[in-house]
Amino acid sequence: MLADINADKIKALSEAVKNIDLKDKSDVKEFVKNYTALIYDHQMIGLIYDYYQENVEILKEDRIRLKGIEAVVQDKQELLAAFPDLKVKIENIIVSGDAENGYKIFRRMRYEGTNSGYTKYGPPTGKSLGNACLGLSMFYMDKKSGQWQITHEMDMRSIEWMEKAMTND
Amino acid sequence: MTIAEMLKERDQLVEYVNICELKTPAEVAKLFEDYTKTIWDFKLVGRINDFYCDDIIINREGGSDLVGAKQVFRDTLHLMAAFPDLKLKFIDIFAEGNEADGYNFGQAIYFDGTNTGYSKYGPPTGKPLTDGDVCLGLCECRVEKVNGRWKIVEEWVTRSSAATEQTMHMNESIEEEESC
Repeated sequence: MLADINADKIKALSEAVKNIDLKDKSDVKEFVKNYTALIYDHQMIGLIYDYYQENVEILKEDRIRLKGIEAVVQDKQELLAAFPDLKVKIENIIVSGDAENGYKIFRRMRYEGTNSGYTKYGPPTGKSLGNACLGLSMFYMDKKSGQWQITHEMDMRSIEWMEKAMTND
Repeated sequence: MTIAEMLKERDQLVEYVNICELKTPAEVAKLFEDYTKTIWDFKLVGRINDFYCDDIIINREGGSDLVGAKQVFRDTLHLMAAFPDLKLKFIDIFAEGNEADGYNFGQAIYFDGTNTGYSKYGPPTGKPLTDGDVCLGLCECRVEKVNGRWKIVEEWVTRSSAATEQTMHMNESIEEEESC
């Protein structure tokens, strides 16, 4: 059964990111892949509370700034509500830094999905994002009280592309 | 800053761009920060030729990809003409890779300037790009040796396009368009 397969995947990924120790850059890349899959592909939005600093600020496109962890959660909820079948494909991850001083990460990925949920633009359109919807982000990870957390982030999506999918012609 | 001071700063950047051999990721990051400033802050637009391939592919956020260095020139000149005091502010840049396999670098920047020049949206609005918060831009570049020279062969870019366009739009003209 598909649900069983997904349940097992989520358990395996959750185990992989739990109490993670980012000793080197390859650990960081593995963590980013698994964590990204959990949040977007498997809708494990609640894990944001595990890995974002509470007072995190995320700078986004068009002068938008998310202040605090609740704003980050809301942002992801709105995206997944609009595209409940959302999947992301990571194309590349660049890592700089080390375990002692923290890491800087640049992630490039593509969003794929269909607008089958209500959005601020109205009822679902049934339109697909296609496979060119680009997402770039740069974020910083530091060890805080023994736990690796994202302390700052800059995150941009192809908003025009998403709006096209969420609006009728 | 006097013109003499400005030229001194520019020449220091140009010198590093000219001599850098891209031996480490740290050198790559410094090179492309200095290089980008020479083009945007000091308007040495022709230096796009230094590191952009003739057939570069720029993957943009809206799917309207640019292909070829000529498009890069056109895009750069359009933004500069609209914002003559444009300055590019680096938030961060870092790279990964090596001399044998090439490099990838990621950068976060924002543009600072005021729309005092004509653009495809019409006459200048006098509006600043940084209005309340910054117009963020992120990009990743793939750098490889082509015919013995380091070149950017592919780029992935997201800019704050809606906010940038809004800066170049008079409110009145938007209302007129909407009422049509």
